[in-house]
Amino acid sequence: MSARFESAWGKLARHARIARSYASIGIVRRAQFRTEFFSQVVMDVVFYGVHVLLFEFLYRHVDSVAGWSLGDVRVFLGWLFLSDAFMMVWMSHAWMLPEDLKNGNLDSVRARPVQPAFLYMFQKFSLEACVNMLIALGWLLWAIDAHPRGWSAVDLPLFAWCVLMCWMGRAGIMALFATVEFVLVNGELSRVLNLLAVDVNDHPLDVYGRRGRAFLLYFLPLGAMNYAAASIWLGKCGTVEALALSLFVPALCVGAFALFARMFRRYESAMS
Amino acid sequence: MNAAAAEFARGPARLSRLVLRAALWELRKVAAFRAGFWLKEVFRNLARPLVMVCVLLSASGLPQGVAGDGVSLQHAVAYMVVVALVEKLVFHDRCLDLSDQIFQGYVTKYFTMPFPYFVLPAGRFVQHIVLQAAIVAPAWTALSLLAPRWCPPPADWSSAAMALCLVLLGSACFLLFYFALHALAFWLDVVWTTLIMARMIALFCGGMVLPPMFLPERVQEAFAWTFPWWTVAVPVQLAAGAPAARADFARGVATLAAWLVALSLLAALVWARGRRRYAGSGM
Repeated sequence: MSARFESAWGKLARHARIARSYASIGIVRRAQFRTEFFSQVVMDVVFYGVHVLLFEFLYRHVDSVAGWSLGDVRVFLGWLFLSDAFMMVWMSHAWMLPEDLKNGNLDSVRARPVQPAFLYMFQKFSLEACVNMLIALGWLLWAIDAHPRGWSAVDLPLFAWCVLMCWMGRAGIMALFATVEFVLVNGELSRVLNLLAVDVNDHPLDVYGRRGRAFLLYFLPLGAMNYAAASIWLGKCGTVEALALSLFVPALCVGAFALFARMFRRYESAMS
Repeated sequence: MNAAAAEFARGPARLSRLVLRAALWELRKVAAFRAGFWLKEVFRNLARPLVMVCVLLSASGLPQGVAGDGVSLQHAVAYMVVVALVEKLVFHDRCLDLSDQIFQGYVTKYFTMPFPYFVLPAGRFVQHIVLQAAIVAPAWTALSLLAPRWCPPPADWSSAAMALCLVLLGSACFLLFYFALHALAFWLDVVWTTLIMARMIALFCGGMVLPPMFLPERVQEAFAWTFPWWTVAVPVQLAAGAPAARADFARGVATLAAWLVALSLLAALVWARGRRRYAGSGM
């Protein structure tokens, strides 16, 4: 039992060391390209700005959207930005999977004794996205503070758990979508699904009705990326569903990474 | 002299034939992968406007009839449904792979060929317009027969023709705009961030994210100086028979023509300067 525990701890420590190496490589790489640094920071600021303006203009004409007030949506956007920033910091390389798979560039991933989804998708640490993470966090804290719900020190564990859920949900969804590439090579389905996820998930899922919400939260679980955290934080879901989501999102993340590892066995090296 | 004049006259005809041939090859390429074809060509750009429709339908406080500020649920929803169709005709950045070719050093081979590189993007433009028109026309007809309240047909033939004219001019502006941005790969290490940023701004300025009736007057006036506004926001209102949009048609053509000239010069300049800088071994 003890040996198994140590083995799990050892694996975790090994993955943490790899993440640290990726981060230091990312910092060195980005220090060489200053224009690109600002380009990405500005791009994400534009992404945030477009979303904020969309809802600010919309709420001049409507009272609420699917029961979400302007204050609620501001908090929702904070979780969206936080989830997006996590993807930009760690997982932007997942976008390259269709090409790398097609050109047979994944041999080095197959040869390493670590989780393949982690090794492949987390390899491009982005320093500039850390700036965006700070901006996203700043927006979220402002929106939470301005919201009538408010917050106190008691809420800190819940806040930390929601942040963790947001990141786990994003990682799980990206790994899940990536597995599709192993089935349909050349279709670029993971890219299309990720773009679809951005479009579908940047509004509260309640706009799709009760069934649509359930579908997008539990079946095609896009809501795991930020909706789950936002609705738990704002009390939009009951205690039972909050607990269910707290179990579901980590399970989704672990399951998606395991599925990626399983599907990775189908990879047939060069020009598959 | 006569032979030279004849050769000069044959130039555009030869280039047109090359563009058409490139368009045919591009068509074969996009049709090669069925899943990719359905997702990238048929369903592309449908999600965002349809999500906005869901948002509008679930919003409370929107008047059913037209309010004093011109906002109504039906108008807003119908606008977004038609945007979902019209936007498909607009050339988008992922139709081009120039930046990848520059990064990988593949453009070298085009410099040795006896035709300008722009023939290939022009071929993609023609392929995109033809294919998307073949998708949009039957889809719009079917939807306007099934649900005319939410997807009204064009008000009349002249409105449809004027709207199409603006969309095609605007789409050509997008081609040149994205070409110039892709060509920045001659200088930059990363271009996709610039492309995404430009796309997001263009979508917002073009009324493809939020119906123009929700935008404050001053914002609308500012957006009217940009080509995306005349590419989608105005043509959609024009097709619906809005008198104000009809009156603005000449201004729209003039604005888009000015943008077309400016973007052509910009694209030519960036391409020429970039070629001088290009080392041929990938950047």
